[in-house]
Amino acid sequence: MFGLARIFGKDGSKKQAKNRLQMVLVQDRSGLTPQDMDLFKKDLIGVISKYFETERSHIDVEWQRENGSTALIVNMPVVGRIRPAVAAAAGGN
Amino acid sequence: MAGRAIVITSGKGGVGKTTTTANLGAALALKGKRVLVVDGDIGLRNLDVIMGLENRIVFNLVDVIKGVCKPQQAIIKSKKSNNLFLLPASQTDDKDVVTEKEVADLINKFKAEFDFVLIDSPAGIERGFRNSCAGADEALLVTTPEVAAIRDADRVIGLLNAQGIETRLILNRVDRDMVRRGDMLSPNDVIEILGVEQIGLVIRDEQIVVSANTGEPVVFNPASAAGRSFIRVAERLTGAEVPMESITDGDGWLARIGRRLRAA
Repeated sequence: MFGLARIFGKDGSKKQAKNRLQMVLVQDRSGLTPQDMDLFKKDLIGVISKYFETERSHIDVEWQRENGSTALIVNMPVVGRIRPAVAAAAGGN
Repeated sequence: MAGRAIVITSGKGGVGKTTTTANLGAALALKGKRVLVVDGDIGLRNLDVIMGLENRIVFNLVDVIKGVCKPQQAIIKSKKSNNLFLLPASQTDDKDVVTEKEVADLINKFKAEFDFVLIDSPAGIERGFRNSCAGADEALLVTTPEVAAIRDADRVIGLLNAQGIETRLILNRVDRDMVRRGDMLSPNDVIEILGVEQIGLVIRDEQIVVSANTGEPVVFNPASAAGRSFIRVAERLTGAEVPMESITDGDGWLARIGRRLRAA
């Protein structure tokens, strides 16, 4: 019962509270069901990977509120640069 | 005189809206401001009992709006302050008997006579909430550091933003020990999640229960930590720069180990 974690630790149940809140607020703010959110992420990955080499498993979608407006933040690591052929084709159209 | 109309709201019930309204009203009155608190919870009035004025009610908000009486006949002066007044809600009517425009017009009239008009909104986001917001220039959102309360607060922030009402947060019932243990979301966590400006932090305090029993707001009790917090919110409302209460005061690592040793 009396471990170092209890003296120095700050990771009680609040970690879970925070994680659960962040999950539920993404749904509330976007109005998307978890299933829709998965589809949305898949589509996003599809579009982004058309132009960039990406780390597909690490996409992170968030709705952040600041100063009275809500921003959709998509975080996805890009590992490679633009694929010149596709970019040129897209630009040509 | 152009007063400020402020709605006190939360989404979830039971987080301390009415207590906050009564205490902020009393704290502002103590600062010499002329304050009217309006109970917006038509059908389930409570602000009167929290303020200890339940025996003095003759007329109410609905009577005033329907022209049954003049505002002066319905407004009750507090026993504790000559600057503090209550307009009670009706206990027998339904929320639907008044419209947003009727409420907004009345609140606007009161703004000419009072420095502050505080409107205690009912829980929820339906008619009663919309009526209570109708005449408000600003909103104070009360939440506790719990998942359900914060989720509902987030929803209400979205609705208030959409109406262009400036919204600031009062975090209520914070337990310092639980935050230190990591078993309660910290004020920083809550602000980060909700993305709104904070105007108050109220420490959990048993005196709130005592005050509800006696009908005397805690701001009149200097020994109450919550009372002192409400006074500081009132000061911030009037533009004073007052630092936010600290959760970790006297919480160096030595103090922490000492506490753990005693608890073990």
